[in-house]
Amino acid sequence: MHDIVHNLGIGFVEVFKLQSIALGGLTIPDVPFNILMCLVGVLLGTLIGVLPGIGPVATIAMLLPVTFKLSPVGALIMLAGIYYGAQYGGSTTAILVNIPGEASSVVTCIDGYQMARQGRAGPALAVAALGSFFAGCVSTLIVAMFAPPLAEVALKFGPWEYFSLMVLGLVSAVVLAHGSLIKAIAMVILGLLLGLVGTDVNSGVLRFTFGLSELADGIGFVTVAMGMFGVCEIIANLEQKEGREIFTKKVSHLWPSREDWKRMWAPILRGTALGSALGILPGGGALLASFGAYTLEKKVSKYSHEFGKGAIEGVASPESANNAGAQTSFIPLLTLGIPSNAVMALMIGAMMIQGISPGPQVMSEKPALFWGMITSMWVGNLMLIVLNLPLIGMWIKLLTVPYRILYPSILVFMAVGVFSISNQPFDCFLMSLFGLLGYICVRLECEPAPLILGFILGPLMEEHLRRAMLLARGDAMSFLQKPISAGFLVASVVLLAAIALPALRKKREEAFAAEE
Amino acid sequence: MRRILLFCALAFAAQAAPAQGWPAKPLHLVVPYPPGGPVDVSARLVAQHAQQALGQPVLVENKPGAGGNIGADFVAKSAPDGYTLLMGAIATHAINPSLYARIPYDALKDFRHVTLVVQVPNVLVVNNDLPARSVQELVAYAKAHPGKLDFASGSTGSTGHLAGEMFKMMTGTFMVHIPYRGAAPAAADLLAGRVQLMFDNLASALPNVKAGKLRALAVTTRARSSFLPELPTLDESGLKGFDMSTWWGVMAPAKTPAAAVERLSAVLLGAIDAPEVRERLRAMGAEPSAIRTPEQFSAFVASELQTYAVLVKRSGAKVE
Amino acid sequence: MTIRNPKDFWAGLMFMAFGAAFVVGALGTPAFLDSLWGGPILQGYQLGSAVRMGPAYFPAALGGILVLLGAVIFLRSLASRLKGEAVKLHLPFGLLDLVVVAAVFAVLGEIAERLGISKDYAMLASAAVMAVLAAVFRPDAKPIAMILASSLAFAYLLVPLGLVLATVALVFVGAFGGHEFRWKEVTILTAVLVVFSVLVFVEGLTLPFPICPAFVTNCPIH
Repeated sequence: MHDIVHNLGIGFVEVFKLQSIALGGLTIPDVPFNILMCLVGVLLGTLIGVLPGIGPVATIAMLLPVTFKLSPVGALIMLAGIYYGAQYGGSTTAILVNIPGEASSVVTCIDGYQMARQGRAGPALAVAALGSFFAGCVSTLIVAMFAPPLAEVALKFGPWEYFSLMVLGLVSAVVLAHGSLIKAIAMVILGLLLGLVGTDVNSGVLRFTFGLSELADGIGFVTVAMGMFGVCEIIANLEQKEGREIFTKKVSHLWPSREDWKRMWAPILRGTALGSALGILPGGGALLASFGAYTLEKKVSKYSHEFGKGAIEGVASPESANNAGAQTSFIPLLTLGIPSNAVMALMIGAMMIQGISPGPQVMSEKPALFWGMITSMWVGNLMLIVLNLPLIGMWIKLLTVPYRILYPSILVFMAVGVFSISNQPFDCFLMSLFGLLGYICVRLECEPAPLILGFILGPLMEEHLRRAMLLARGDAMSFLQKPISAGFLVASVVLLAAIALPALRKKREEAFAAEE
Repeated sequence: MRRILLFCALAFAAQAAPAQGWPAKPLHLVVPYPPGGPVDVSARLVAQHAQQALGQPVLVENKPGAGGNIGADFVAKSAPDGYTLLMGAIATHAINPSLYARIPYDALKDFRHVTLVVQVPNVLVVNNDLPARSVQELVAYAKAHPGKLDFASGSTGSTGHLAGEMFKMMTGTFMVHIPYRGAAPAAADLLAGRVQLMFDNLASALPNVKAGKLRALAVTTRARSSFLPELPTLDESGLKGFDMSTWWGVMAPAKTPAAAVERLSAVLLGAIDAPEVRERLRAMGAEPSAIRTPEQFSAFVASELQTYAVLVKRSGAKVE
Repeated sequence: MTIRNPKDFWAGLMFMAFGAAFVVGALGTPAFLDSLWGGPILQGYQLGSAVRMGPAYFPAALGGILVLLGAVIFLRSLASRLKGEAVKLHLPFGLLDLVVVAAVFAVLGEIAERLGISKDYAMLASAAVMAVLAAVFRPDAKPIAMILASSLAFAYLLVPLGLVLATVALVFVGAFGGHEFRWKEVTILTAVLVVFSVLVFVEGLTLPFPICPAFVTNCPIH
C-alpha cells in the first residue's frame, strides 16, 4: 500500500512538473508542460472522436514527427490523451447522429440515439460522460495497483480462450437485437462472413476479393459503420414524409432526472467491472467490453423491455465499460510491451523513437514515465469531464439546426473520413454499398448492430480457431480441456438457452392460441 | 499548431526562392503501409529532414494494402518527374514478386532505387523453457523432436517466416509455422510458451531479451548487431551464408531524370547521416549500411529478389 | 399460399442469396455449371479438414448455416396458419431496379476498360445515371439515390478536381436528396463546409487531399 502511494507520488510529481520550454527562439520558464500536453491530447482526441470517420490512429501517426521534439513523457501523455479522448468524442456522435466513432461506440448508438430522438440527448450525453469518468478513475486505480499480476493473467489467454470468449461475445450480439431472434442470428452470421473478405492469415489466400487489390486487407470497420449507421440513417431521415424541420422532439432537460440518477449507478458499476476485466486481454478484449456490458445489463435489468427504445442503462453500462477497457488496455502495453490495438502499436513506435523500449523493464527503469502516464490518465479523465459536460449545451443547440443543413455537413465529414482511410475512392464506394445494404436491412427489419459485431469478431474468431487447432495438432477437445476456454463455452450455451427459451415459449403460446 | 506554422514558413520560403529546376513543387513520399509502423515513422523522419535541404515540402502519403503492393504499384505508374517517390521495402521489392501469384509492377525495371534508408536484422529468440541455449542445441532438439516445435511469425511471407523456412532448409529440421496478424501477438504467445521460437525483428525483441523473459540465440545478418554484440550470427553458428535483414529505402519511377535522382540521393544520404535522424533510426535497430549509391542499392535489390525467389518457392508460401 | 410477411420473405431470400454466394465463392462453382460454361467459373479455395481447416472451411460452413436460416425465415413468411394482420413492406425500389443499377455500373465500367479510360470516370458516370434514373422513374427513391450518388461523386472527383470542387458536388447532390432545395442556403452551406474542410482537414490534420483541380499547376494552398 505504501508502495502505491509512493509510486503515485512519483507520478503526480512528473505530471505537474514545471519545465522550461523553447518555442521559436524564446525560452519560457516554468511551464507545466506535461499538463499542457495532456490538455492538447484530450482536446484533439475529443475532436477526432466527434468527427466521424477520422480516428485516433491516423491522427497519432501524423503527430508522431511532432513528438520527436517533445520529451518522452510529454509525448506519450499527449498520445494517450488522444486515445481515451476519442472514446468520449465517439460516444457523442453515437448518441447525436447514430454514427459510432469507434468500434466500442456501436452499442451506445442503440439506446443513446433513441434517447436523443426523444429529446433526451442531454441526459444521454451526461450519463455517458459521468459513466466514462467514473470508469476511467476506477480502472486507472486498477492499472496502478494491479498492472503486473493482471498482465500475467492476460498471458494465460491463448487462442482457445480467445475463441471461446468470442463465441460468448457473439451470443451476446444476438441479445443486442430487440426484434426477431432468428433474423438477428442471420445478421450476425452475415457479419461474420463479410468480415472474412480479405487475406486469410493462416494461408495467405485472398478470399472474396474479386481480384481487387483494395480488398486484399479486408473491408474496414469504419467503412461498414459509416455506411450502415451513418448513410443509412440519413436516408431514413430524409424519407420521412412529414419533412420535419427539427431533428428531435423538443429537448426537455439538459441534465439527468432524479430517476435517471437512481437507475444509472448499478449499470455504471457493472460496466466498469466488466470493462476493466476484458480490457487487459490484448487479443481483442476491449472490443467485447461494451457489447458484453450491454448484454449483461439487458439480462439483469428490470427495465429490459425498454432496451433499444432509449433505456438509460443501455448508455451507462457500455460507456463505462469501454472507457474502463480503454484504460486497462494499457496494461499489456506498459508491462509486456504488447499493444492491444492499432493505437497502442503507434505508441510503441513513438516510444521506440524516443529510445524507450516498451517492455517489462519500463516500470523499473523509467518509473517517472510509467507512473507519470498512469497519473496523467486521471488528470486526462478529469479534463474530459470538465470539457464535456458544459459542451452538452452546445451539442443540444447543434441538434436544433434544421436537418437540411445538418445532414450535408455529416455527409462531408463521413466522406472525408472514409476517403482518408487509404486515400482511395474505393472506400467511399464501399460505404455507399453498405449504406444501401443497411437501408434494405432496416426496411426488412433486420438490425445492423448484430451484423457489425459479427463483422468485427468474425476474422478474429476464425484466426483463433485455426491457430488453436494448429497448435493442438487438430485436437478439438482442447477447447474443453482448458478450464478458462471450457468456462466460456459453457457460459455461451447457458446464455443461448436463456435467450432461446423465452422466445420458444412465446412461439408455442402463439401457436396454441392460434389453434384454439 | 506547430505544423501549420511550419507550413506557412515553408510556403513563404518556397515562393521567395527562384523556381529553377527540380524541385519546384512539393514532393510526395508514398508509404505503402498504414501510418505508425516503422516504415512510416522513418519515412516521416527522413521527409522532415529532406524538405529543409530541398526547399520544398516532402509530404508523406500512406497508401496501404496488399502487403505494400498497392502503394508500390501507384508509384510505379505515376509520372516520372521526380515528385512522386516510394518508400519501398523488402516486402514490396524482394518477397512479394515471388510470393504473390500476380503482381502489377516489376521490382527492378519499373523503379530507380535511390537510397537505402534502414536495414534491420532479425533475431532468433526462444522461450525460456526450451532446453536450448545455443543454435546448435536448438538444431539438435529439433532433430530429436521433428514436428514438435512451433515457430511464430508476423505474417505469411514476412521476413520472420522466411527466415524460419531458410533455417529449416539449411538445418534439415521440421518445425511447424504458426502465422499471426503482426509481430506483437506472436511475441505474446512466445512469452507464454504456446510457441517455442520466433525470428523477431531486433527492436521489438530487444526489451524482452534484456529483461530475461526471452532467450536470444543468434542474429540473422552476417554481421553482429551492435545492440547485442555477444550474440553470434547464424552464419557463425553453422548456417554458412545466412544473411537476412529487413530493409526499406526510397525509390522513384523508372524514367525519373538522372539529375533529380542524384540530387535526391545526396539529400537523403545527408538526412540519414544527420545525427538526430541516425539516432532515431538506431532506436529501431538499424545499423549504418555500406549500401549508399543508387547503383549499389539496385544491385542489392536484384540479389535480394533472386534470394527470395528461391526461398519462397522452396518454402511453398504463396498468396493467391 | 399467401405471403404473410413480405419483410421476412425478402429477408429470407436475401440471406439465402448471401449464404449461397459465400458457399460458392469458397468452394467454387459446381461442376455442371462449369461444364456449361466451358471452364471453371470460380475456383474456390482449399477446404482442408476439420482438423486442419483450409481457407474455405469457415466461410463455407457459415454460408451453409446462413442459407438454412434464410430458408427458415423465407418459409415462415409464407405460413398462413399464424393469426395476425399482414405486414406491409415499403421499399421505394424493387429488385429489378437494383439489377438495372448494377448493370449500369458494370456496363459503364466495361466500356471504360475497353476504351482505356480510368474506371473512376465510369463510376462518376454510373452515379450520375443512377441519380437521373431515380429522379425520373422512382421519385420515392430520390433521397437514397442522391445520397449514394453524392458520396460517389465526392470520392471520384477528389483527385481530379480537388477538395473544393468535390465538396461542392457532395453538398449540392446531397442537398438534392432532401425535401427542399434553397439555392442560397445550399451555396452558403457549401462555402462554410469548404472553408472548414480546408482548415481542419488539410491544414490542421494534414490529410493529403489536393485542394485545386489536377490541371491547375500552381495551387495557392497546399
